[in-house]
Amino acid sequence: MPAQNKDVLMSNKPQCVGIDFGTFKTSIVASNGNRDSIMTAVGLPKDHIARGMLGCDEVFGDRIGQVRTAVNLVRPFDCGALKYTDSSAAGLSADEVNRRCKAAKSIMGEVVRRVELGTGPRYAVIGAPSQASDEAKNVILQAASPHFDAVMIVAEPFCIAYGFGHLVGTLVVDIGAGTIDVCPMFGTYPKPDQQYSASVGGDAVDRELLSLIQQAHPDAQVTLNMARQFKEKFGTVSDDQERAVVVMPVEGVPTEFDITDIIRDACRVLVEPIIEGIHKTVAMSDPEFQAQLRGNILLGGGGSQLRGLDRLLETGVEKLGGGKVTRVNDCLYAGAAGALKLCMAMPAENWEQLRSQNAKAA
Amino acid sequence: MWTKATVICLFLSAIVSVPETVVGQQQMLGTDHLQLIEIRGKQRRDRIDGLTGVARTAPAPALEPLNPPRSTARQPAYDLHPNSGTLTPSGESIEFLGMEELQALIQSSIDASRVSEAQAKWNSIEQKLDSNLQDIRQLSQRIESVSQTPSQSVSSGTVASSISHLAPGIPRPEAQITPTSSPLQSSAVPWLTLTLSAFLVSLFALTLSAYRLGLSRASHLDRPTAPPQHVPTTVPEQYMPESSELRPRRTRGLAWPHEDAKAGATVLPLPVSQQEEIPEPLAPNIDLSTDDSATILSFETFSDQHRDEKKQKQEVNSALMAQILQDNLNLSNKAS
Repeated sequence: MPAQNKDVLMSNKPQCVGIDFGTFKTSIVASNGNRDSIMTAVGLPKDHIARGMLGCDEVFGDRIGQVRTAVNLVRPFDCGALKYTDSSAAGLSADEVNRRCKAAKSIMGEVVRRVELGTGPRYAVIGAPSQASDEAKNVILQAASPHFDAVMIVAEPFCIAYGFGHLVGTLVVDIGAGTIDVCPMFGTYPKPDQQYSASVGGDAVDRELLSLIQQAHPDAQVTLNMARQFKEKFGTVSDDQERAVVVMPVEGVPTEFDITDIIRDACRVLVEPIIEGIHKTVAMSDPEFQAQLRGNILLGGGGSQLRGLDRLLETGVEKLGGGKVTRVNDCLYAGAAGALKLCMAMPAENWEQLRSQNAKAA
Repeated sequence: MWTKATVICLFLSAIVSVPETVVGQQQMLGTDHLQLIEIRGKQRRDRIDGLTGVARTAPAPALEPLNPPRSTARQPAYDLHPNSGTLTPSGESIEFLGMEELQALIQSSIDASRVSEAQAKWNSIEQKLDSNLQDIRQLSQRIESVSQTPSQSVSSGTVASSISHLAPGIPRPEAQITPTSSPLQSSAVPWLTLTLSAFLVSLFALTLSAYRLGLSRASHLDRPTAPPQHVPTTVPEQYMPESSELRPRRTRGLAWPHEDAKAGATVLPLPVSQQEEIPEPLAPNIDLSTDDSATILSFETFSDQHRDEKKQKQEVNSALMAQILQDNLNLSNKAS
C-alpha cells in the first residue's frame, strides 16, 4: 500500500473521546492515548490591567489558582445548575445563563485541545447526570458540538458501569460535586424514571463545612476554597480518624484549629441522600433482582473517596436487607474511560446516522 | 579404771578401722564392676567404666595395717616401774600391772571386740555390695534397653538421674559420658523419620493424583464417541443441519437417538455382541439433578456456552447502542 494512501486512511480514522463533564472537574480520555483533567471553571480577567498581565482572555486549569485574584471565576455547572436543574429552577438570569454556556463551551474547547486529536472525524460520548433535563443536556450538547462531528449524551453512572463491564446486577452511585446519581444496571440502558438523582454533592459539603467552621470559630478567617481544601485533605465520615488540625488566620495571625468533628459532620451530609437513593432505586427495581443490586453497589465520583463512606453505607443499607459497597479505584477518570469505551464500541453507522442528523439540524 | 581404759581402746580401734572399711568397700565394688564389664560389649563397657570410673580411679586412702606394730602403739606419757605400787588416801594399796601385762590385756580385749565388730561390718558390707551389684545390673539392663531403642533420645542427664536413683552410693557420672555421635541415637532421628514419612506420603499423593488426572483425560478423550448426557433425545428439526453428512454420527455405524427418532424408528437396544464391542464411556461426575455451576463440562458444551454468552453480550450491546442512539436522536431533534 502506498504511503500516501496509508496516510489518507490514517487521517480518516475516527478520533473517539470520552468526557466526564463534571460540576467541579472535567476529565477527558481520547482514543489516541491522551487524557487530561482540569477544573470545570474558567477565569475571566477582571479588568484591562489583568488582561494585559495574563496575556489572554480566558484562564483554565491550575493557572486559575495562581492568578485567582486577577480573574473572575465562572463555574458553569456550580451546584448542579444547567446540568441537573433548569436555569429557572437555579434562579439564573438570562445573562448569567449565556455567560455560563459560553464558559462551558470554552472549557470543552480547552480539554479537546489538550488531548491533541487527529484529523479524522471526531466522535464524543459525554456523561451527564442521570435525571438531567433536556435543557441541561442541550447545554452540554451545544458546548461540545463545535468541537466534534457527533456527540452522544449518556448518563454518567452508566458510563462508569460500562467501563467496568458491570451491566447486569449492579447499582452505581455517582457522587459528584453537584449531584448524587443512583443508577441500577439490568443489561439495558436505564430509563430516567428508573434512576435517582439528588442535588446534593461535594459543593453542598463545602458549604456546610464553611458554615460549621464559621459557627464554631467566628474569629477564624476562612473561604469556600479553603473549606474545600480542608475537605479534600481530611474528608471522612468515620469516627475513628486522625485529628484534623488546620491553620486559619485570626486577624492576620495564623492559628491552628482542630476541626475533626466539624469535617465529619459536614461530610455526613451526603450519607442520608445516598441511602435514600439506594432505597428508592432498589424498591423500584424487579423484586427478584433487588438482593443482587444491594450486593453489588459501586461508588464512583469524587465523593466516593471520603474515608469510611463505603463502610458507613453498608451499615445504612443493613436496614434494607444488607449489601456490599465497593468504590472505583480511579474516581477521576472512571467515567471518562467508560465513555470512551462506549464511544469506541458504538457502530460506525450509528455515528454516521447521528452525524447526518446533526448536519440536517444545522 | 579398767572400764575407762577399755573404752579408750575401743575408740582408738574404731578410728583405726574406718579407712580400712572404706577401702575394702571400694575395692569390692571395683572388682564386681570389672566382672560385669567383661560380660557387656565395648560400648556398654565404656559407659559402665564411665559410670564407675570415679570410684575406681579415685585415689585410695593410705592403707593402714589392721594390726599396727607395737612400736607404733600409743605409749603412756609416763613410764611406771614394774611392780611398783602406791597408796591411796584411804591407805588401800594398789598393785600396778607391768607394762607388758597391761599391753597384753589391752590387746586381748581389743582383739575380741574387733573380731565381733569386724564381723558385723563385714556382713553389712556384703549386703551393701549385693544391693549395689543388683542396682548396677538393673542399670546396665536399662542402658541396654535405651541403647536398643533408637527413636528414644537419651541424654546424659537421664542416665545420671537413673544411676542416682538406682544406686545412690555411686557418684553421678556426667563427666564420663561422652555424647554419642551416631545419627540413629541422636535427637534428629524422629525428625528424619517424620521427613521421610512425609516425603513418602506426598509421593503417594502425587502418584495418585497423576493417575486420576490421566484417567479423567482418558475418559474425556473417549467421550466424543458417546453423546453428552444432557443432549435431548430428540432435536427440533430447525436445528438440524441440512446435509446429513454434517450431522453428528456416532462411530461404528451407530446413529444418534434423534436420527432414529427422525426416521421414525424405534431405538432398540444393541445386540449383546455389539454392546460388548463398544466400550462404555466413563461416567462423568455430573449430577444433573442439581444446578451446580461447578460441574465438569465437556469441551463442546463449554464452547457452546461461551459462544452463547458472547452472542448474548453482543445482542445486549447492540440493543444498548440502539437505545442510546435513539435517545440522542430524539435529543437532537428536540434541540433543532
